[in-house]
Amino acid sequence: MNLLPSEIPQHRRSAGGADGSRRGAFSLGVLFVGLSLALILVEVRSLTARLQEARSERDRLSMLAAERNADETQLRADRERLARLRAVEGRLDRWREERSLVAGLLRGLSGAVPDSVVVETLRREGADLRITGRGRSAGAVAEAAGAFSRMEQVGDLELLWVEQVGEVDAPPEQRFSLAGSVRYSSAEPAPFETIEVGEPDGGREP
Amino acid sequence: MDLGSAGVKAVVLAHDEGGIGLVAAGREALASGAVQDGAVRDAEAVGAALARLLARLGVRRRPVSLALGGSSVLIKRFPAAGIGGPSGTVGADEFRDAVAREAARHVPFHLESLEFDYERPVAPAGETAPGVRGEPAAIVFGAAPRETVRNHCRAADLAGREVRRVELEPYALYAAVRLEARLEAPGSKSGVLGLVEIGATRTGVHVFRRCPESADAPGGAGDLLASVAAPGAGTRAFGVEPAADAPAGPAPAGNAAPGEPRGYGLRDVAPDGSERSGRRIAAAVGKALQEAATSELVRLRISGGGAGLAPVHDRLAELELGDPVVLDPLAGLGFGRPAPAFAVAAGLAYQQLLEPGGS
Repeated sequence: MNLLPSEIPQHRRSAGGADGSRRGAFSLGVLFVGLSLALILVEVRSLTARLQEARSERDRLSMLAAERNADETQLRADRERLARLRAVEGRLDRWREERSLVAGLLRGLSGAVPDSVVVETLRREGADLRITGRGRSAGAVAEAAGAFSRMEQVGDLELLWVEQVGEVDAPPEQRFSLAGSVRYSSAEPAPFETIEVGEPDGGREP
Repeated sequence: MDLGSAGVKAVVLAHDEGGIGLVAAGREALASGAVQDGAVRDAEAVGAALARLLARLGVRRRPVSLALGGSSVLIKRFPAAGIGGPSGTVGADEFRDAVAREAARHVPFHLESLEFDYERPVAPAGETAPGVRGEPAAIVFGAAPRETVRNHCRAADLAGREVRRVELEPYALYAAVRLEARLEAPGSKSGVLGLVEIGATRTGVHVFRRCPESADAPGGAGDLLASVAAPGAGTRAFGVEPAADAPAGPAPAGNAAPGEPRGYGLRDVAPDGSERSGRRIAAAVGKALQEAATSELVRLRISGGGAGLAPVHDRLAELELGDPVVLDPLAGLGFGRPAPAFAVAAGLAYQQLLEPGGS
């Protein structure tokens, strides 16, 4: 009988039937420990490889995350640029619309006044709209402009007042100057620049 | 090495072509309380005493065997039936687990706190005990508190030795009987043997049935039938202190009891307390024989430092088992005088010799 604690190496009974089985058990134990160590070694190597693979994957994911962040930054910048471009495009569309609006106004005025009335220039100066033409044409232009403003072709154009200068007594060749104020609801700071209107082809003599 | 209450004892045997030889044997006194009731209480003191003893004896060999005795040792015997079939049909670990489960039904302690081992004594031919003839009919389960075993090992470790075996005292004594029988002309190898180990503070009585058919040669295997302790009934109760290391020399003269082999000298002691202690030892022998439940002829062998106490012999003689014989395992090995006090240590040394590779 041997009460030696199991954690202390022990040599069990030397005689009796139990010795062989105990030695065998010891040998099997050593074999088992060896196999266990080998399995542990293989497992450790496998775990090391998996760890290395996981590190590579982590680095790749980190790189992808950095690329994604860069792409998102670029995307935000592109969106902002696109928004700015669309704003500019809107302004351009508006500007084009206003240009066509003024052209329409000019055509309307030309069509509304008699042939003896010659409108030379139609100029936007700030909030004012100034129209110049030949003498004794001011009344006809003012009347045409007022009528035109009441039309719904240019809904945002409102003729507030008309000032006639040198209308009645001026010689026919004297030019008149018609000044008025136009309220035009435009979001653009400068919806249009000065639009020069040239003399009609062939002239229109009163 | 035998760690006793009064001192530590060591026996070194060697085996060569000429047979078994005694290399060294000696005893070193211990401070009182270092070992109590077979358990080491002061491992440093015991380890230092062991180191001194082994240095004095010139013993350099590291492997040692220790014995455990006293009330901390638990020995139970229960039928082998239901454990797991005849030996060889189950694995050793599986069988050990089965023994542990069976022992848990008989032992009032948690096995987790114990170190245990077991024996499967083989019944002799013609045995009418339950079980298959030639197969173990019973399991002898031995255990001791783990702390007690560890303290024993720690003491040896402090002395720079490597413990190979922690044997139970009864089996070490039985090995001492085998050693003695081997040196003498082999006598009867069957029958029932009663071993009375009288230490400094206690006495242990162990009853073995010899199993000569076993391969456990020489002397056959011992089937421990019963083990009874008589705490307090030791040499100190007789007013006798263990002698210092007995040098080789002639056997003491005087008081030789009739029939005492080799002229072992019995010691008369003061009557105070000796009568009561002698009766307690005799009562322990009677109880052990009752537990052994055997009707075979019993031979009594006495060992330990109190083996020569005349009152003990007187009381044991009253049991009508024949005159008790003092165990002298070192007889013929050149020790020079009977050495029953070295029985446990000598048995342990003999066990080591029998192990594979023992020398």
